[in-house]
Amino acid sequence: MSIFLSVVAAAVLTDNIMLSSLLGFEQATDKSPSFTEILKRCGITAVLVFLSSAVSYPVIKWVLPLLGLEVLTGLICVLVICGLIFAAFTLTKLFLPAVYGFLNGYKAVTTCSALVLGICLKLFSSSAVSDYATALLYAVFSMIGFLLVSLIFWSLRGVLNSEELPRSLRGLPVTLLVAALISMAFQGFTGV
Amino acid sequence: MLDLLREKQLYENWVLAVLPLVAVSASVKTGLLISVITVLALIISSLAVFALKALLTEKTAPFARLIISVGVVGISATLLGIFFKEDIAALGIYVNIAAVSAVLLVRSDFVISADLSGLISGCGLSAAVGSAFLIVSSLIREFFGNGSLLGFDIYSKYLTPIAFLKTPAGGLLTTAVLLTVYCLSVGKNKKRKEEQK
Repeated sequence: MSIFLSVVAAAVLTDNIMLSSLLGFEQATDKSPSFTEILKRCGITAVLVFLSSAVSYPVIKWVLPLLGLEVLTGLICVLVICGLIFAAFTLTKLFLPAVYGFLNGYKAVTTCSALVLGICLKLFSSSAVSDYATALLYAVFSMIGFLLVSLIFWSLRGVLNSEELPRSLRGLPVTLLVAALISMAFQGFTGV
Repeated sequence: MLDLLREKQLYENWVLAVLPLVAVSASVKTGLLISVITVLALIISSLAVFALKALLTEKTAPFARLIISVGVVGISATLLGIFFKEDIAALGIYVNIAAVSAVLLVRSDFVISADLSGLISGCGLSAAVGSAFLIVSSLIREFFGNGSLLGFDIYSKYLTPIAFLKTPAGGLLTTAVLLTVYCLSVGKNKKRKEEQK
């Protein structure tokens, strides 16, 4: 139970992928999406994160050390991610045209890759991850942490783009300022 | 070309592309190292994809750029690791994230549709803005967060530096301040031009 809680606390709060690694800000700062759009995007990214973690963790943790090729960790992660995104494009084009249209508009390769790669690589550097099960748990809760912060920014989007703010602060500058404050607040959970 | 620098949306895209790298560039040395790695990945992957554009489509070009970028990043980090072993090790996962930042700095559809001179100037401008931003933000964070500059102690014996600036939250704050200064200067320039008209 304590292992579960430490993985959840690290993935969602203290080691939040967006606020401590600064990954995935393109999605948080997007002004246009609706609530359902955010859920869809996070859902697709979560599936990619889960599958790429499930595939890349055993390869990197067990196969590469046997061959003495640990230096290829990044390349393996990227190949797995690219393969999964390519497969998602091909399969959805054949069977789910609506999802394919969404993926096409979302530009999954460029917007997802940093986030998915970041989470995959963090599985090997985070002290909370000790085995395959905790790695998968960490990947899932990293996405929940990402969804949490995305929803915080979605709920604040009216204030962050308000006409009352000085023109030079409106949009991205004030979003980053608020992100810095939220990041500090999340760091307060360190040691819990 | 200079007018592009006054495009707020374009500038924000450049900043968002290199934002993850801000998390680790808390000193000028790390800022410089990660900039060099990103610029090398950007230029080599863009030129390679440009050379192979007959074989690639708009859909497959981002995949190719990403894979080439990771390869370049791996090689350049290994070579730089000969001279800066500890600093490269301290960059951790961000060495590979630099590959994605390099891909995000210049759009892949631009790479396969532009002519060679356009590609070189586009890559050059993006690389210059991205690396200048990383170096300036790391310089500010090292000075105020560590009381030193390029590793030389300046004032930390007399005043306590603001250690918070060395954290990722400090990186976000520095980025926000730099963006605000940029928006202020662009706004002033626009006003001056309108007054001249």
